[in-house]
Amino acid sequence: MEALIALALRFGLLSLVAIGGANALIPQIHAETVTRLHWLDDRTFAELVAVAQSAPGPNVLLIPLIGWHVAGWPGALVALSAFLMPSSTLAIVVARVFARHPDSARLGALRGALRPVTAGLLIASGIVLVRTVAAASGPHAALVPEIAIAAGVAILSTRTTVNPLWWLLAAGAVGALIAR
Amino acid sequence: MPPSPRDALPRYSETVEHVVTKGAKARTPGLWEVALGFGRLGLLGFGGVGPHARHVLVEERRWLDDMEYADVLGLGQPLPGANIGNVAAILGDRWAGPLGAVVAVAALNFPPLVIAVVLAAALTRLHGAPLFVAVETAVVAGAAGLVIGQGLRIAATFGPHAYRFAPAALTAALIAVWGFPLPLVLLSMLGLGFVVERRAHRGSDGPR
Repeated sequence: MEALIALALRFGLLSLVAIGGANALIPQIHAETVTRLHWLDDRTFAELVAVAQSAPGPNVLLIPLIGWHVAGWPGALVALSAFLMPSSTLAIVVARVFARHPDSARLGALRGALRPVTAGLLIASGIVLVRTVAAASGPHAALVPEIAIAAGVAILSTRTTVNPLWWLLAAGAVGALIAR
Repeated sequence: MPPSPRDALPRYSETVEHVVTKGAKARTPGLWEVALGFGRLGLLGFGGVGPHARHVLVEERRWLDDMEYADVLGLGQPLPGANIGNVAAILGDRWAGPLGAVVAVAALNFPPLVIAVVLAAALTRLHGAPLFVAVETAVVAGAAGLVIGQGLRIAATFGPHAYRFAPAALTAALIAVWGFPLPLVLLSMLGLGFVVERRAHRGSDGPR
């Protein structure tokens, strides 16, 4: 029960700072759940990110997966609802207000200020992920292949419109080849 | 029918170069249809549901036209929370009230969650196998690349507005290099973003 309350509080609060979606939140989730609360280690965190990215569905899946790791199915459901409820409620309220008083100029200004911040948050998330997976591989791990794979996927995926799943499969294949 | 007030207002979505499917719209979906539509959307989306949402909502189900979709996305994206999750909440509420919002959000997230948990549980059996660790490490690096790519795609829309790169780079550094807490970074960088935007648009025809 204590674990469920802790999950609800953590992810309920994170909901309202989740600018740019769940992916932009990865550094903050890592800092809280791994570094501070020790709910899971670096390797498990990295694995759950990989699962959330390669399973179908929204990227938000990372959050119920952490809940599942901490407290099974109840944990998954509590984490997911705690994360979605505050932001969804806010979205509905804003949409209802906007339906009555459309103000595209102000929304445009907000979007203008948000875009650079969202871009910065997502890039920070990628860097933190590479660092997490390196930390999980031990203190003397060579970072070079991980950085090369991340940089390669980052550049290639922005220049093509291929289904992102293919890039994850390609990265895995490269990992298998390096390991041999 | 009197003209809707929305049509009189300029909308940012009018810059979106899509073929407008107006006139071909289906009737307002009921609760069950909302559940099926968003359930299908959740199961479609590998690597995030964003790219599939327009396809399902506009082309397949014809619940919205392109402009309405762009309007809803324009609301859901800048708000905190999952982007398409916000869209699901807004549309579910619009079509079937608060219960519709709950059904839409649950239908979007729950089936993929079952798949993800089964996958995560299966992977724990492979722990310790050296080849698995190597492959998984590489897949996470690839996932990191995808997330960085999302950020780069947004940065690519800055166009000639070089002033937007400053808050972007500073945000990335504050989080990833210096480890500042997110709420602090959001407050300061959104503040900086607003100042920079207003300065850039001073004397011009307002924010775009």
